[in-house]
Amino acid sequence: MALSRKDIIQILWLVAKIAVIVLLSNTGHALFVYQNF
Amino acid sequence: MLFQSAAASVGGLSLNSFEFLLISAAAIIISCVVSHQPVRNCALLLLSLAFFAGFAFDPASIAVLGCFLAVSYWIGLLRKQYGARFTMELQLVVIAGLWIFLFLARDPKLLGGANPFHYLPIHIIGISYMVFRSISYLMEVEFIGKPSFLRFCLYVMFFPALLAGPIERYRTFEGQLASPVFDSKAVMPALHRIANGMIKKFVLADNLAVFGIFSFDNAAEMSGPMLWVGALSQLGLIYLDFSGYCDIVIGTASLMGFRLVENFNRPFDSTTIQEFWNRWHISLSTLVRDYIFTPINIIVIKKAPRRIQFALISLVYFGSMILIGLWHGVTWGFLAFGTIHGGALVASQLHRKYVGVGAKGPVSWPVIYLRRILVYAFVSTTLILWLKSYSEWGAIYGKMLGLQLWH
Amino acid sequence: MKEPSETTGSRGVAAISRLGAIVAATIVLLILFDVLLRVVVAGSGILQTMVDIQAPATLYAKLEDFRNAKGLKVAVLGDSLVFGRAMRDKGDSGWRAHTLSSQLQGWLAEKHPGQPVSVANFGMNGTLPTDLENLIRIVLPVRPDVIVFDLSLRSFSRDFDRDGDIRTRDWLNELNVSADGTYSIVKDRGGLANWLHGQLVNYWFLYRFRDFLQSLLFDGSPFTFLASARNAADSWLRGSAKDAGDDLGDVVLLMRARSRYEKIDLAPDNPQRQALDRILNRLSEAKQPALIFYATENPKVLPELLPRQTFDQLQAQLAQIISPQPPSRVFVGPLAIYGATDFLDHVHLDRVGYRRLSEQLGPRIDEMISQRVMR
Repeated sequence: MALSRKDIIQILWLVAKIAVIVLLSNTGHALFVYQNF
Repeated sequence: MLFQSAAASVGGLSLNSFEFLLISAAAIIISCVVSHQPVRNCALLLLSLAFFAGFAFDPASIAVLGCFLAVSYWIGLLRKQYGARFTMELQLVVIAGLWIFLFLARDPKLLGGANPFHYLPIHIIGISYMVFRSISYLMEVEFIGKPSFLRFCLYVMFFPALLAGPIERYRTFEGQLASPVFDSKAVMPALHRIANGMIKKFVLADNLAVFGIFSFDNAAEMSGPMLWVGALSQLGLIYLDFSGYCDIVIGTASLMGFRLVENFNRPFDSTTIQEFWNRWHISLSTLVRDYIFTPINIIVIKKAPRRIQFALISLVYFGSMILIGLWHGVTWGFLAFGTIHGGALVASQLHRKYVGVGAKGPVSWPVIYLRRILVYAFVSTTLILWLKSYSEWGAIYGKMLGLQLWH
Repeated sequence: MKEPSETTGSRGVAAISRLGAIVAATIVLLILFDVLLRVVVAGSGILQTMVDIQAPATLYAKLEDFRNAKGLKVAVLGDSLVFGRAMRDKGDSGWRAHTLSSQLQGWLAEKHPGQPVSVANFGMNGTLPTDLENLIRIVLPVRPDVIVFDLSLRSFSRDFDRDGDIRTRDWLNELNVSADGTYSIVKDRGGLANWLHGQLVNYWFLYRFRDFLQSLLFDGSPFTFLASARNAADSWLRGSAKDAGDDLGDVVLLMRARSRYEKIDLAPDNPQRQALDRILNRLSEAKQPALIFYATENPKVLPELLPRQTFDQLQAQLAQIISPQPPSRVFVGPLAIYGATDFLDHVHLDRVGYRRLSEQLGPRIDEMISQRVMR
């Protein structure tokens, strides 16, 4: 399944959003952690 | 999490948990790959039960849930069997029974000893939504050729929508079970939608929550301007939280081949309170309209004398809004909220009937913006009523208006 | 009407393969981004910045950075005295450069020109010997040239022998870093999610870095930062005076300290004493050079906290428990080098106080390093 250049740009955007979510989400509900520390 | 029915307290899997990710991944793969319906439906139901089990998992709640599902399903079969003999009045009685069950089960302290759940407190996550789905099932089962308990349970407990909706219609859901919608071009937008939802909910809403008035521990002690900030930001925060949740849920479901109904349609574009309730929590308000408001009105039109019909319908309109308030929780605050909004809606109906809509030509932009601000401010200030005790309301409203009230 | 048992409509296979392709590409890009991030972060030295360590991943990120440092390595552990942030609370905005670890770094770097020197600061407010025990367990596998930590009689107060109060940070107890640097959290619940979290911290640098970054930018998390901003705004709007609060805070601190000191007990059944014993055993077994220094109290305040005789007796007891054996175990007892102006309160020092302290500890550390090299 080939990914076009437009796809790559969209995926870069997705990566940026993931970085924002990982870095800035509330640590009370730390990303993908079952129990907060 | 702010948006859930205020009586429910969530302790368990949030949408940014590993469990949700793994369950979603499994569900997406199974939905895409398995075309044999019974197998796929069974797998999805098991995954939904696994997600449900991540929350309170006590035998009493499980038993009550099982009974609720069984009884709801059975009543639907009866309705299907009896057809027209299962009258609209009887339907409304069943619906009323479901509402009473919801109120009693969700608040064991309600009615004290008269409440059977007072002796056996249970906690079923998303029960407010499950009851609505069983209402939809009851009203739409007649259109389904061969209902099955498996598909009914999957409909009620479908894990993406388990926590807080959107509330899908039974007929639509059955249709999608039979013919899921897969579109390769929709995969990327769905992923972005999920990411956007996570940002709205976990980055923005959860962090900024501290500015919302619901998070003020001692609201009456806060300064007047800060109370205004709290009141005016709370609605926006609830929107970020709830619509973010819906984005995640709708995006995930679309990857599974399900097109869930939208819950929000730019609610802050509303220039009237009526428009607001058409754009906010759409799946809820349309359900109340279609399955409570409309059937009662049909009875009113058929049986009541013509001259009081408008009054009665206004009353039903008013009552529906109160029901929506109480659906969030049976407290004075929610009742007051429902009453005020019901009153506002009826008032605007009366205004339209007696003063008329009037073709005054296009409305200018400043007026539109002003109306939007007024609607936002109205909903925000009435939102304060959701706070726990009415002894606080006086102090809060007083401070916001600059009056000094001493206790 | 018999309903079909197969779904009708479009097939999901095309959709899932597209999803798979996108997910694969996303992971590839995330990996590339991660590699870049590792290089940038390691090069900038940002992980050496002193932050309030509130999460295990923050500690781990700093530890890994320390592990990868070249040259001389000294780890300074302990409580708020080592952390040094009391200086910031009292108005020193350049506090990071004035802490004990910073000044020791400067002192040692002068003594060893041309050789990289890393003095890492793992101080955390309010830590007790039980927390220190865990911290040393975690730092030990890095094998620094010297481990430095402080002790205070205050920590051996009977206030800290009850179940909920034995340690200040349960997460330190649960954190485990293996000899090769693998991070894991050992807890009775959490199961799969716990394991996955550990895997992410070990392999996904962005994820590992997040707790440190939040501590650095927000002094905890965006939520706590915004909460204090809101409270500050509210106080300002209400026009409440802040100075009175500060003085009151100091008085309360002193009163609390006094009640702690009254209950100091170095008996063998005190869990804090037991933790100290275990620390000393662990250091001996690992043959890890350690310098223990006493958190000297403000000479003006000490008489209000303890009678001189009791203090001397307890000091003698403490020295006996520690049983120093230079050069592998050095104990620096209460120092008489300070004036009352070197202190910010009953125990925290200001930049001048830390300078005096580093001038005392520096030579001793240097001695230990050279003895180690010789052996």
